[in-house]
Amino acid sequence: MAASNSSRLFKAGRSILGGLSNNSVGASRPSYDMTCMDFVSQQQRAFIQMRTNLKVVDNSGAKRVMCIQALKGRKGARLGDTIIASVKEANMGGKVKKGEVHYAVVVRAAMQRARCDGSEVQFDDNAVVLINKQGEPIGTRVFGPVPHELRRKKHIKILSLAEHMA
Amino acid sequence: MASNVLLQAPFMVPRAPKTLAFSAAVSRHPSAAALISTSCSRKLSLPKLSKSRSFVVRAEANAEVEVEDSAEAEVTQIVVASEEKSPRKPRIKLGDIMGILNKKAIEAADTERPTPDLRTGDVVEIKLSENKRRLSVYKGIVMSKQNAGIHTTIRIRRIIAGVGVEIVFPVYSPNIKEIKVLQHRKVRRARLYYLRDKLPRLSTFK
Repeated sequence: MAASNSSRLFKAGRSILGGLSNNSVGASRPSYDMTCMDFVSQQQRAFIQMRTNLKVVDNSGAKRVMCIQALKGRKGARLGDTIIASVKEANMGGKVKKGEVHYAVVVRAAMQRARCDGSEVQFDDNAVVLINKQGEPIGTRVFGPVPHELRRKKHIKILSLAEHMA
Repeated sequence: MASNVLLQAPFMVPRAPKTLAFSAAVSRHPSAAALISTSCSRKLSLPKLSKSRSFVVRAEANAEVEVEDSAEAEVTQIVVASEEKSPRKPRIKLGDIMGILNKKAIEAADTERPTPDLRTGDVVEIKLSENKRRLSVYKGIVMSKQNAGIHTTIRIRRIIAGVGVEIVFPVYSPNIKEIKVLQHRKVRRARLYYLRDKLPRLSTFK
């Protein structure tokens, strides 16, 4: 969603610049502006920090969650880290209600995470799975792909529930 | 007398490599310093490695051995005539070193596993071995290729279980067991970042 927003901005900017260039004479100016815009809209994916909205991909009842604390890392949480999150939107009759505070583990992050063999992995969205203090997931199903990084972090239960492992 | 022995030594080397033992014995006889005999034997021992091929030993500090068909030895110093060598090797400049190292590393990786020619827009299948047991398979379209010598990487995109996943693979990694190009899609770009905004249908591969 964020990706399409930023690219829409870019497209809108381009059309405005296109209009300007039609009026102005210089042909070199549009190309210079284009490179500036390119640099700005070139997806700078960032850490998951306070106030980050994330999607919930288990059947615990919550739909959207806001991060209120990244437990490890000064700059924020990454793929595989645990966060403390507050439920902002929840299904009726689920295990969790709106306004509750839970631990959660990040299973998909838009920011790339490096692996020890030199490869990097990134997803299209940010998603979490709610867990309790002991690290066990509250829900019973996990949707979407999960990365191998969870194995190192000892979230074997989530890996076993997952549909697909990336 | 010592100088006489020294003079004899270079001439002994090229003429009769087979009778080395004999000449060494001969050189030990005179009561000259053991230093000379050791120097002679040292010079004689190097040609032994050649296995019936005449050598000319370059009397420099590092004592490199050059293979020569015609033996030419000066009196005071054993020098390799550089004019007889085939074209002189060009000096390796500082700026070329990384290029040469990268090329060597790529050649070494190629002998283990041949890498096909990859271009942006190829739909490839990569077999990766993790934990020495399982062989995980990754399929997808090559979004970009970053050339950096041995760390040349390709970015593969695919929709897995409804979510787009992009993975960057180092092409010459020993963990990659196989790269296979399945098909090729005509693209007019070098980097296909526009696929992130397009419909998931365009990034789905069975």
